Amino acid sequence: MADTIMKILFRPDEFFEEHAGKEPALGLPFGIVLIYAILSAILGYQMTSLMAPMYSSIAEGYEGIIIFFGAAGGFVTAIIFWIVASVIFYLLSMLFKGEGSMKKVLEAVGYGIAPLIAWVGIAIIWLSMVADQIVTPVIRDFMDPAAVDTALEAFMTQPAMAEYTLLQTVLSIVFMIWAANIWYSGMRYARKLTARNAAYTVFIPVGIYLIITIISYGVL
Amino acid sequence: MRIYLILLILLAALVSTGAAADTSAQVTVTGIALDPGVFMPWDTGTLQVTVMNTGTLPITLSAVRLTGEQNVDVLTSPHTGSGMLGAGNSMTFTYTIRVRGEEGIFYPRFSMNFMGGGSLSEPILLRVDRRPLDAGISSRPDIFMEGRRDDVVVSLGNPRMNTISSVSITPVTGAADVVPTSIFIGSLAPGESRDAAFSVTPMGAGDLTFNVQYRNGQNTHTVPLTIPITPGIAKKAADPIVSNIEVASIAGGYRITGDVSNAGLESARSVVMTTSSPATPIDPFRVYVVGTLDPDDFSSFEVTFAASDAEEIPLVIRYRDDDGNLYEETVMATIRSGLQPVQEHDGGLSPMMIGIILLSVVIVAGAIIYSRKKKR
Repeated sequence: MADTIMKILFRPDEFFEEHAGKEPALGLPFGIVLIYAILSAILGYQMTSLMAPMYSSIAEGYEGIIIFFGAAGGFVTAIIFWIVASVIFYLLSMLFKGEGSMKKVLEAVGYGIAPLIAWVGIAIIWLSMVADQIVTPVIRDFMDPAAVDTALEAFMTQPAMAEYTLLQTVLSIVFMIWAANIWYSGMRYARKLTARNAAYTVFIPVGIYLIITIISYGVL
Repeated sequence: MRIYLILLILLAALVSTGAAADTSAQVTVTGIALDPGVFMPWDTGTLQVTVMNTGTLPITLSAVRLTGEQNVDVLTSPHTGSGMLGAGNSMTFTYTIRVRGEEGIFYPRFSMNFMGGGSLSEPILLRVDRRPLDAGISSRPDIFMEGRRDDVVVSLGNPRMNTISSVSITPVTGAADVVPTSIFIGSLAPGESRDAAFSVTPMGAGDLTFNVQYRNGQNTHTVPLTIPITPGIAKKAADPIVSNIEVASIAGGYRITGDVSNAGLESARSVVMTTSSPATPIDPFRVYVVGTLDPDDFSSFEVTFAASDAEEIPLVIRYRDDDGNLYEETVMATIRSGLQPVQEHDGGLSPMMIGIILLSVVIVAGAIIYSRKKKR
């Protein structure tokens, strides 16, 4: 399995070419997505644990519930991300008369999520290292939008949090490019597309995603 | 002849004696007024005796006097006694008297002689009672606190048999601010009692004396009531206790988190947490407003500060009582040995982060380039 993973990461063209004619097998891709989802849940747990005191004035005693939803949100979002990306790629590839099944697309997109595991893993480790430096302001009056904005801004702009956000943004872009490289090969063989059509199918939505990510960070 | 002469003299004597007896029977004492009604030892007062001629003939007075006794001195006796008291008329004689130090019941004697014989003598009942106005502190705080306003109630009662007048209470102290500066009560009838409340705000240690002044007749008496003011910690006062203190490094300084509880029996209002020199409060929590802490209540707090070369920093708790008096307490928080503030990068990136990003970029770029190389 290690060889398979290495091949997916470093020789995706060869891997997907070999698997082009085979029946789609979702076991390993689902395992990859599951690991990614679990790590996303841990990251969600960490973030909501840090932010929960912010809501203590209105949700005192309910921090556990907030943290649970944070972790569950991370897990579900990862699964949804896999499915939504597969659907988008499938629909786009239809424009180029792609022929493979949706299951084959899910398999390819699932394999492509492997690099994102590294990104989430690094983010978890980094957040663990700086968690005790992050100060969480308490929002005293949720009816006052200015107070809420001020508290959120104070939370996000503190040095440790700003550094974490920058690292997370840069790594998400870098590892998303790696994932896109795998998805490109995967879609090419899963949907029997030309190299150019596969590039359009994958790089257009990924590019839009990256632009949104960069804009969200405030660079553009 | 001699016998007639003797009979005539005897008759004259009999006639004279009968006239004298008639005259004394016509004059009666109709009123006695003492001011004060009951004297205190060494009091000066007045005695008024009113006599009336109830007969049908005028009477000529030859001598009128008030005779004191061992404990009663007659200071002024303006009536020497000559004069005429017409039929049906009254006459009032006023004397200034002073009692000495003994208490009890005394009988100075009022007497008058009549021209032509006869006299009137009337003992005057005069009471001397040394019991003063009862004055006491009926309510005061167990312990005074400096700068904190407390009520002190002075209770007054009149155990005497006469009304006392012009009762007033004046606090005298250099150790407290007392409001009001004086209370006038007025008269106190026998058996009557009154309370007077003062607000006392101590400014230091010393004595607080309430001078209770009153008049018994024209005599002024004073009862001093002294209570010591020794500022301390009131038993019921709010008592903020800080616990669960944790000090952690943050960018450019430290963060203290902990719990502040009110172990007192009164509410601590407007509780504010901050740090003081050598620490310098920094954002985002220069000051943490906890608000009101009721007895047995607690709240978590968080303050941020910068400090260099300090192993202990003072954590300051400010709070107010119900009257708005401000209190401040300080708790020392120890910065763990070796705990250093996280270095700020002035907007730059930490070397570790740059390393992670560069390594990630190199790995991803290498992976992509390698994946696109044709297999040989």
